[in-house]
Amino acid sequence: MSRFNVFLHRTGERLALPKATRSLILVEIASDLEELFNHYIQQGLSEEEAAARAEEKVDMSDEALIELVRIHSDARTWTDRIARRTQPFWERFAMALIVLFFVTEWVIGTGLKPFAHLTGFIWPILVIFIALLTFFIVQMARFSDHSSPRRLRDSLATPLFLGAASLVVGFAGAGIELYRTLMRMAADPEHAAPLFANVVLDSTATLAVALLVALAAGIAWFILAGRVARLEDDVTRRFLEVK
Amino acid sequence: MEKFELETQNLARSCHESLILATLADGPRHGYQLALEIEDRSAGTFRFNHGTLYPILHKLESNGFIDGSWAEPAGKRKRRQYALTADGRKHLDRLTDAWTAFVDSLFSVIGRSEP
Repeated sequence: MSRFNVFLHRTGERLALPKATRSLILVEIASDLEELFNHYIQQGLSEEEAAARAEEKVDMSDEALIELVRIHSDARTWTDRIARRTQPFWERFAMALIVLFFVTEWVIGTGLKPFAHLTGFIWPILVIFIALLTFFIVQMARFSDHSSPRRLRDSLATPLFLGAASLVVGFAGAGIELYRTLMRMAADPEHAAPLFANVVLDSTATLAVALLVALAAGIAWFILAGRVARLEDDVTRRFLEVK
Repeated sequence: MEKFELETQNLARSCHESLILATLADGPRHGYQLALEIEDRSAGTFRFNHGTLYPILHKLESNGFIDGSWAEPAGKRKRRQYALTADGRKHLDRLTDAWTAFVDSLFSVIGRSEP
């Protein structure tokens, strides 16, 4: 039993934070209390005086505690909170069903020729998809080779960036193709109708692929973020030696 | 380097941040060491209550200016140690420039008494 248990318990009760974060802060405070206590003992104070001085030095005002809670709450973004939430089976099943529905509907809706009508902008989108797939496989492998959670968390922005890049290419490509076709329609008004129909068809198909790649990026992020969050919780639990 | 100005409403906080970063520029320290060393080096002018110290340390860490790590010396409890990062060193340079400009401005108004 530490001589500062009562003080730490009181401080912990005032820290409105998740248990793991609160415990880490309390471990930090406890070690500083012990060091200050030893410092004051070396200065010639009695144990009671040293303990009282150490507690007085470390005691936090309500404002300081509120500030500490704010800092640690800000650090957890809404995306982090979503990722940390345990996904029930039905949610994962529904997500898989939605993806399957999208892909099936698209493939069947195009008469089993999903890539028949696409613009040249499909190539950068495919490159993004390959990059996403490679990144996802590499990251999943890093989970098993005990990479640091911090490094894994730092790389979480990559799938979101790739998803956003796919959307930008998809929408920008559709805009550029439309502009080109309008120029051709102005030059050749007789064939305006088929030209317009073709550009709408090709651009929509390309945009659909871009959206699917963005959806895949979102799912990849979701899976990776969840695993990183669980890994962080495991590391914290092991560190604190709590079950 | 981008120009950095001190917020006059938040001078105490900027002062604390500068003191912590400047002390960490000499090497990694534990929280209690920081407080005691700052008090010692300033001959008691800057007395740090740890209650004030933790929010500042954690804020500096979340901004990437310092890096906190856990050490477990043999036979002792786990201790958190802080080290200055490259971004922290840049921020300290900015703060130092800002403080110099601030003090110059202050003395240009109140005047500097001759010894």
